[in-house]
Amino acid sequence: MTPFFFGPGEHHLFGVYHPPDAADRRSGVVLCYPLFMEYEHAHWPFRKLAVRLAHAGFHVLRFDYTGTGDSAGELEEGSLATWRRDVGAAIDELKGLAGLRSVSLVGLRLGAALALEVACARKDVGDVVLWEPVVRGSRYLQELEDLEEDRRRWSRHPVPRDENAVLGYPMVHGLRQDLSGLDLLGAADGFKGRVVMLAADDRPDQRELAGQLEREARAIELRIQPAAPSGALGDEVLRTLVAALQEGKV
Amino acid sequence: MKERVEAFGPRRGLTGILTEPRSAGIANAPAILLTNVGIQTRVGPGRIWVELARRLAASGFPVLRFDLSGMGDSAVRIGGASESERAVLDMRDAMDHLERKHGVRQFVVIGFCSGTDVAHGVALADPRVAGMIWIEGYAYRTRRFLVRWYMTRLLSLRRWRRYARSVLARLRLTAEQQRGIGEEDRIFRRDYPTPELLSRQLEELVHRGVQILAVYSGGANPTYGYGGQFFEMLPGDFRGHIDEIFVPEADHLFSVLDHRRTLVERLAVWIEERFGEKQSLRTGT
Repeated sequence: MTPFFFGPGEHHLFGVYHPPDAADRRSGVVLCYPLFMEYEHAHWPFRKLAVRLAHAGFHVLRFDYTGTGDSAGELEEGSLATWRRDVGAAIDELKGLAGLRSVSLVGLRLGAALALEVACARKDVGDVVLWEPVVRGSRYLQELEDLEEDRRRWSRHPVPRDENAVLGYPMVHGLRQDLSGLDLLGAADGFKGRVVMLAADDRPDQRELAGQLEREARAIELRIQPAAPSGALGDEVLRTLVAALQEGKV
Repeated sequence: MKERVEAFGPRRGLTGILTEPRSAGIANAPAILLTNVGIQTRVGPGRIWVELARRLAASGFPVLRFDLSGMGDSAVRIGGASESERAVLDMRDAMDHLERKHGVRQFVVIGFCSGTDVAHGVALADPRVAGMIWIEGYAYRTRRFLVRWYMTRLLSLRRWRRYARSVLARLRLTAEQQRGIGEEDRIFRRDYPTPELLSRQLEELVHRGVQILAVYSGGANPTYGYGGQFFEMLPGDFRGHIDEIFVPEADHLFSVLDHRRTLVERLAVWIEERFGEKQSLRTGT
């Protein structure tokens, strides 16, 4: 496991490269974290997933987007375009590190939306695993606002309203608008590879996306798992993810 | 401000980010050490450590944020030491590394919540620690706390409403969920030193010249409730020797953005006042 910075100096991104520790499959996987409070919850499961994928023979890179984790910048500077560019930079970095011609992407929640959008725009992405994807940004924003309202309701102390923050994270107007316009149902054109989706059992929008991908003749596999929080990040899910990627390339 | 990855400790298994001033920093400035808050990574809740590290580097201080062994991106430390002993070894490895590689000889350690145990443990164990900050560290109820606690609750309509909502919500829980209540408390319970022992330890640190700041929110478990409680909860007299900041409006993790950013600024200013350019000129270091 090698932690390092990559990308241009002022805009460096933090990544951790996990080289394969079993027979090298000549395949790579870039892991795309979720954002905001979900990033904090996902760090450990992503480390475990990276270790398991490396053990299964994959080159793995997990990385922090601009303004998140250890990467340069502030969350206020973040935008979907910046984060899509970061996913692209991570793909290039892993290809260069491991000498690969293409890689697969695994994205969780908003990371899944970014992964699919980037995959549609490139020709060097093999499989895409959408792990409980955010399908519509407007719904995602509403979920964050609902959680904020819950926090306000249950907190021992009054939580001041701040239109530029949600759940304690900066959420500036530009990013809010960006997210409102995100709709994977209209953005999945162009990707010809295999899509695996791990969907929660209570998310009709995820099934809707799976249905649309299927109608457009993509190779889509839909695997339903128990809704968060009980099943979302557990070992069973990690095993499913590794198996799904192993089935893709040998 | 420059940032780079540092790997150190046994088999270079500890991972951290060193944030340094872009140009020459303060002569002989101490390095600031930040570690995990609970089970969170070196980034800290709401990225608080990243913001603090960059703010302090802009003022001339090097800052190392790193994961203790077995957490975040750090490897497990092999050996029979207890969790708290391992954490102190990790901290000393960080200090050895910065001393050897970057010539740093003094350190300010900051512990947040359970991280207080680590900061306090290494401050006692290693004379290179010149400053220590606790955020949501050890707290003991005082008589005044108890009077205020019950009076404000009995007279607050908002709290009665919240209590009623929580009773109703609890009634709607399944049997399994009911069993889970209190489990968190059992998992996250920490052993505090007795007030007498802590007082003796702090006297030792003060005597050694360690600068100490204790920060408390109003959102901690019901143990800390008013400014100045720090000086009434321990048998020793620490007024004038230890600084206290009480932020009644903040919750335990300073999870409101404004509260967190204000805290970052107050911590940075305290460190500047104690260890900044003016101090180093005054002491001739």
